[in-house]
Amino acid sequence: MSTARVVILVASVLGRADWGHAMAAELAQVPARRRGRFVAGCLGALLLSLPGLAWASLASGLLSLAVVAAALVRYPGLVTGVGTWLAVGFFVTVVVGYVVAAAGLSTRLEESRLLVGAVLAGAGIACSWWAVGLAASVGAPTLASMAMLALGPAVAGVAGAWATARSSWVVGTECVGLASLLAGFALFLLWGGQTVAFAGRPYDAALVRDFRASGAHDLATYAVSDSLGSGMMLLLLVPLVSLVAGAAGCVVAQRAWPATTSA
Amino acid sequence: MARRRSHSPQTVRVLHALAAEPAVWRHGYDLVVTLDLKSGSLYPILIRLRDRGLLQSRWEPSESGRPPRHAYRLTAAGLAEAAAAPSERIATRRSVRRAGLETA
Repeated sequence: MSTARVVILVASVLGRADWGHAMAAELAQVPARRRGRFVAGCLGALLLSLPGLAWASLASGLLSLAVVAAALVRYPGLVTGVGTWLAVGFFVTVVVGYVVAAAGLSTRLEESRLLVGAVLAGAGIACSWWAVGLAASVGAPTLASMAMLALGPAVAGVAGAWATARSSWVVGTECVGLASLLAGFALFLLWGGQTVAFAGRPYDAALVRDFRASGAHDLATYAVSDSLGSGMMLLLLVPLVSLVAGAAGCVVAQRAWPATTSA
Repeated sequence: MARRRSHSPQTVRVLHALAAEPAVWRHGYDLVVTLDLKSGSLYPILIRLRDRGLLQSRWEPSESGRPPRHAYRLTAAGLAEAAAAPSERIATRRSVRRAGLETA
């Protein structure tokens, strides 16, 4: 791949496609011996121009990786074979993908109110799912706790509808996509951080029973493994469910106010 | 009264270079050469100036086989900003003073 294409690709991923094409076009004017330095400068410029939220996403991604690394160091028994490293590799890929997507989306959403809306929606989605987890840990599922499952998707739907009504369904989807990714990171950091800090406590009766049946030697390692697995599922599922619900909100808003929204 | 945002010495150089011939569209690499700036310094300035509405850009066709080039010139707001910007020497002095205060 030529250096010009690398610049265009990086710029497109970061939501600055026009600047990528501008830099690549200038590259044709630069003498061959200076091209390497020019390209390095352009790539640095693209990264420097990222908004604060993109850097926050990068920090969240790095923290998520640090949580898993800390768990692996503190509980070496978590590594049970090649399968563990495959799972870790998949997790790293997901985190890198989320960070790149969040950086690109936060660059595309230029209006500060939309960025603030995405952050608030992300926080709302994360709080909703955290409340579901708390309710489930208190006792047996009730109708009220089951109804809370709809809270996170509802927040995402409202956020999508709000952003669509404000601009267009494309912007609405981008806004809700960013909110979903932020919510996923927030939940994983809360869940994973708590798991590593408290060795997967509290240990409930079901966990102890499963531990005895598993033949594992160490309850703490078993609990951390179980809880981190749940955290990783949250990281995958919450953004996915939120994005689907948010996109539905965008569609509803576009149909309700077709005159004010556009593609 | 709204406080005017202070610019880095490099930004002041770019503003003054573009304001020197306000009707002329300039290219990125020409500015790199003329102002002896690195691309890593120039492009963040151009991106910031355009995001703030101080710079306008357009695509210009190139010679055969080469991709169209992005050209830049200041908007009316950009020209006003350039006129109000201090000289590069004053901007440098201010940024050194600011750095001193931050490290003190």
